[in-house]
Formats: sequence, structure tokens, C-alpha cells
Amino acid sequence: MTLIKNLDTPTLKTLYLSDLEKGQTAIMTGFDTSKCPDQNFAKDLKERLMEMGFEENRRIEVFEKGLFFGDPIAVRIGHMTIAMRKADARAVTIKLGASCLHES
Amino acid sequence: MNHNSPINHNEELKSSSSNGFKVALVGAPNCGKSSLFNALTGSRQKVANYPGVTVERRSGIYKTEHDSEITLIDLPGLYSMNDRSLDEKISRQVIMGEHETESRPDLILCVLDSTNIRVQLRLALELKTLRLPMVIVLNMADIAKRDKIEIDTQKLALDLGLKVITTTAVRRSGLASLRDVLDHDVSSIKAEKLNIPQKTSFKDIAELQKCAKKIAACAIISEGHYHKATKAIDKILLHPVLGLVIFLSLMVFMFQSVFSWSSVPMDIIEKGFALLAQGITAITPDNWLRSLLNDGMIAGVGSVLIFLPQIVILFTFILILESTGYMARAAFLMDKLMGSVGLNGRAFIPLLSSFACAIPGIMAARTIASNRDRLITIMIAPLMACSARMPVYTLLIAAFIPDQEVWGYFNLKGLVLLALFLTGIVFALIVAFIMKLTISKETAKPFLMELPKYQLPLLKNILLGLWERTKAFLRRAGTIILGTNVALWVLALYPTAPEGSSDPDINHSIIGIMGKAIQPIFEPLGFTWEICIALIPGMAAREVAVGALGTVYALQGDEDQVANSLEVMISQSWSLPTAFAFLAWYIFAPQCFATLATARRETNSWAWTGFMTFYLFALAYLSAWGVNVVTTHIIG
Repeated sequence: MTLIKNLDTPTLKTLYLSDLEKGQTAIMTGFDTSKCPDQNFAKDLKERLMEMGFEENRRIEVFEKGLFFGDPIAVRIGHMTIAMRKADARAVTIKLGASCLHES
Repeated sequence: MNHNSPINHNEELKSSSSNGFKVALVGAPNCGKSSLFNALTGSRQKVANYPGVTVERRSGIYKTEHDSEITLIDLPGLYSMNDRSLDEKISRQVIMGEHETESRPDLILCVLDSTNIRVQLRLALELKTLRLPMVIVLNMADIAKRDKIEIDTQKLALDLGLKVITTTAVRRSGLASLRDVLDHDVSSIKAEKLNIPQKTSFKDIAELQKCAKKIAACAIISEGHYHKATKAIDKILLHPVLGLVIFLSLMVFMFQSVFSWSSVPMDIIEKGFALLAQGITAITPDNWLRSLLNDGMIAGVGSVLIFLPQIVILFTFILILESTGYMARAAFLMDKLMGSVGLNGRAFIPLLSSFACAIPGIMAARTIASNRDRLITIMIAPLMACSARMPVYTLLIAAFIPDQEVWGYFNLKGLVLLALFLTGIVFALIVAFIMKLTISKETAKPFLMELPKYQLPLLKNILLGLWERTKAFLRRAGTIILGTNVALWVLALYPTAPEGSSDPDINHSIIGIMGKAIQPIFEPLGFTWEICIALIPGMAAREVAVGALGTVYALQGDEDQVANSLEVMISQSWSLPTAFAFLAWYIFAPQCFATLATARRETNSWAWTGFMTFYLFALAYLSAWGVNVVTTHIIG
């Protein structure tokens, strides 16, 4: 709910893939690995995500969430579905675009 | 590592066909590479390990229409060539000609999933910098067509400067273009090899990504839509509640089937071995040779081969779940549970396999990227109640647990069996948790897992997978188990009882002496010396203890007692605390040489194998002791 509100009054608060609710779609804006446990992990995570097609301006949908604490999440990007943990999804920044609301 | 030197110094040492033509299949996981490999090589394939590491080497022979042979190697699936995992490293070494035992391939078939070339082109571009002849294979063309994905292959070929063909691995007709390349273009490729354009390299990942994006944008005519069936099925199978219910029902059904469907073939195998033993008795004189064949070889190998039906049924399930794409969903559903003890969803599959047999389970742990997670999974795999424990569990349950209904619904025997399974699982989780806290810190690895599109399983792939596993199991029965059984047969027979002694020979044999010698150690657990004698051959393989108990008791009593079944014999001569302690011991004790040998090979460490042996024996001893003391106390 709060996320939808952000659409009308854009704020500077960064949104992360981990913020999305089940069924929501967003546009990827980049990576933010500052919350990763260490630098090696951050580098590894970013590289792996890029290999799996995480790129700026691509549409991302949170397709499903796990039963407990909504973790892990299943994310759809392009023609791939990827299972990942919420903590790792925190490394992907997104924005909600008007187009997102019409899709899915 | 010097990435620019294709020259290898020990070219002569390298195995494989130096005069033949060698083709490597490279591609991302789930691109249908292995189906392609199976379709091209059929049963002419071999699975081994690269020396010293646990990366599988799959090779096979493709017969061209002119009857010449081409060696195909199926390199492990990878998303990039970063040397991050062992798979990636070996693949890169092989492709670059830096591998010690594998010679450099003459041609790379770069297999891309047609429905996902946008992402996978990256790998193709990376491979292109290696200056090897390469053909791009756009696989799963049928699915792409159905999903309305259109690719301009000519444009793609032009932009990449490579030949591009489309295939559908699941259909014979879908391979025509690839067969054509292998049948006709090989000689021209060989000639071409000499004038490959200069190596182009990429500054960094970003540049590579940009280039891939540009090519994809030009070549993709229509993006199509996401696989509709997968989307619909995932709505149900990944559902937080419904998905878990379906998953758990599937597991119950699977285990039910493993035990119920196997009873008939197991009977047949048992009868077959009995007939074989009778036949030998009929044609051999009553001497040591007959005893060696019957008691040493047939009884030993038979007691292991009897589990073949269970293993085949379990693996049929696992292979079907894997090839349909469901296994990744199971890992998704189980990730939270595994995560609570510090592992991730991927560890679930090896642990599941371990319920049939810890050996394939330990081997399946290779799919876990993090070394630490992989090690922990290997360490706890033997706690999953494997099928070799079943004879011991069922024997003791039959002897001591009354056939009684509980809460009007469940059978007490069944509940005890379930409790034995669950105890193993609970302790596995506890051990994993403790190990995660104590093992030296390794950088954690993110848990990212592709959930592939659902596919119908291909009978051919299932059968090939089954055959491979069955072969591994039979080899184990034919070597380690046969060997130890013959050795134990000798130790159980010699020296023989002195003349005039009424004791059975086994009491005077080396094993009898050893059993009596270790009895004081097992006294606190309530184990009798008969149990101790049976435990010694049971160290090699758990189920052998049942046969050994039979030997000890059968030889000991008078004829009436011999006629009694082992079950009755045990229920009369063992106390309840002893029986329970023995069951507790069996949950933990690592009584399987083959498992320990596999753990040694897969961890490449004697220290970890030693640790596994020690902690399991320690748990076995302590829990059996505890159970004995508590039960004795309760029944007073």
C-alpha cells in the first residue's frame, strides 16, 4: 500500500526488490550492495545477478513468496524465474513506473 | 592463471583421441545441453571424474553417417567463465587447453536456450574470445516457437561471425541441423582452425554485457511471452501453503512407493540367490569352496543387491522430479527450513537421495556451490536412514514392538519406524547447525537458483540416468562388498573350534575372539557378546549384521532353536533395553565402508572422513547408552 503511495508523491527513499509485495512488478534501476556482509560477497552477488540477467531498466516481478516471513522469493525477470533470499534481494534497487501497474 | 596460453606442455600425457575429432558442449544450466548430449551419443557414453576433483566428466561417442567417430564431451553447465566454482574452472581449463588430462576440444558447440538468448549471449561472447572454432546451437526451438519468440538467426550469425543452427533436443527431427554440422562440416572446421580472427577481448563485464545486449536487440525479432504452462503450474506448486502440502504429499507417496513397490522384486532377488546357493550346494562337495561361494560371496553380495529395487524406484522418482524441473521448486520450498540450520535449499536434494543410500546422496552434494555447505551436507548425509538400515529396523520392530493400534488410526510398529527416521533427521539438523557455527568461516555464497521451465521427462534421459546409477551401485556390490565379505568369511571361519568342542566355529574364529574382546566396551549399552560378534562384519555394511546374527544364533542352539526364526530367537534372548539400545546405535553408527570411502573421495580429506566416523560413532555410543539406561530404569 505504502509503495503505491510513493507513485503519486515521489520521494528520495530508495526502493529495493525486497520491498515488493507478491505479484508486484517494478523496473530495475541498479545494484546497492552496501548491506552485504562483506565485499567479496557483494562482488559475488552482483556478478551472479548480472549473469542471470539482472540489468537496469528490465522489468522484475515478484512472483511468489515463501510461507515463513515471505522468504525466499521467486522473481521473474525476462524469460527466467529465479529463487533468491530476501536479504540478497536487498541488493537490487528498483523503481515503480506507471507502466508497471498495467502489466501482469 | 595465464589465460592467453593455449600451448600445453604435457600434450602427450593427455588421454582421449589425439587423432579423432573432439567436440565440447558448453552452455548454461537448464539449456537442454544434456538432453542434446544424450540424443547424440545414446548409450555410448561414459561418466567419470576429472582426476582429483569432483567435477563430472561426461564423454560419449557420436557416430557420423560415414561411420567415423567423434568424441563429445558435455562440460558442466555454467553461466560464465569466472573460475568461481570448480565446474567453471574445469570447463575453462578444458576449453583453453590448460587442463592436465583433457586435451583441448577441436570445436565448441555453444548451446543456448532459444527462449533466453538475451541473457545467454553473454556466455557465447565470452567463449568467442577463446579462439576456438565454435558453432552456436539455439536449443529448445520448439518452446521458443510456442512462446512466440522469434530470432533472426542470419542476423545473429552475421553479428557474431559464427555459424548458428537451431535444434530441439527432445525430437529426433530437431537434431538434423546439428547432425549435418557433425557429419559434414568437421573437416572444413579443422582447416578453418588455422585462421581464426585475432582474439577479441572485453575490458570488463559491463562491456561484455553491453555488447551482448546490442547483438540481442538486433537479433530478437519478437520477445514472445513467458512460458504459459510454467506460469500456471508455478501458481500452484510454488504457493506457500498449497505448494508445501503438495510437496509433502509427494514425499509421502514417494517413500510409500519405494517400500511397497519393491517388495515383489526384492522377493524375486532373494529367491534367485537362494536358488543359486542351492545349485552350488548341488554341484560342489561339502568343503571350504562351497562355503566360500555360498556363505562368503552369495550371502554377502545378495544381502546388498536385494536393495537394488528400492534404489531404482527412488532414483526413478528423483530423476523424474529433476528432469521436469520440480526439484528446483522443492529446493525453493525447503529453503527456509534448511536456512534455519544454515544450509540452503539445494542441500535438500542430496539429503533426500541419502534415504535410499548415502553414497549417491554424498555425490549429489556436488551441486552445492559453497564448499562449507557442501561439506556439512556430506557430513550429515549418513544420518538419513538409508535402505540398508531397514532390515535391522524391521527385524527388531517385528521382534519387540506389539502389533497394536494407536489412537485408533496408526500402527505402533509404523510409528516406531517413523520415530527412527525422524530422530536421524533431527540430529542431522542439530549437527548441521553446530557445524555451521564452528567451522572456519568461509565467505557465504548467495542463494540464487534458476527455476527452469517445466518439461515433460524424456524416457531416454531417465533410463540413461538410472543405468548410470545402477552401474555405480552394482560396481560397489561387486568390489568393496564382495571383497570385505570374503575377508570376513575367512575371519569368521578360522581358526576353527577345537575338536570335541560344542561351540560353533565362529566363537573360536578371529571374529569371535574380536567380538568377545570388544564386549566390555559395549557392556554399558546392554549389548551381548553375540551382538558384538555380529557388529564386526556389520561394520563393513549395516545389513550384514542381520545375516551375522543369524549365523551366531543358528550355529549356537539346538535344532529346535535353529528352526525358530531369528525374530523369535531375538525376542526371547534380548532384553527390551538391549533391543532399543541396538536400534539407537543403528540410527547413528557409520557402519558402511562404501560410504566412508565415498566421503573420503568427495571431501578429498582423511581428516573430514575421520571426523565423520568419529562423531557418528560417538553419537551412536552415547545415545545407545542413554536409551539402555533410561529404558532399564522405566521398566525397572
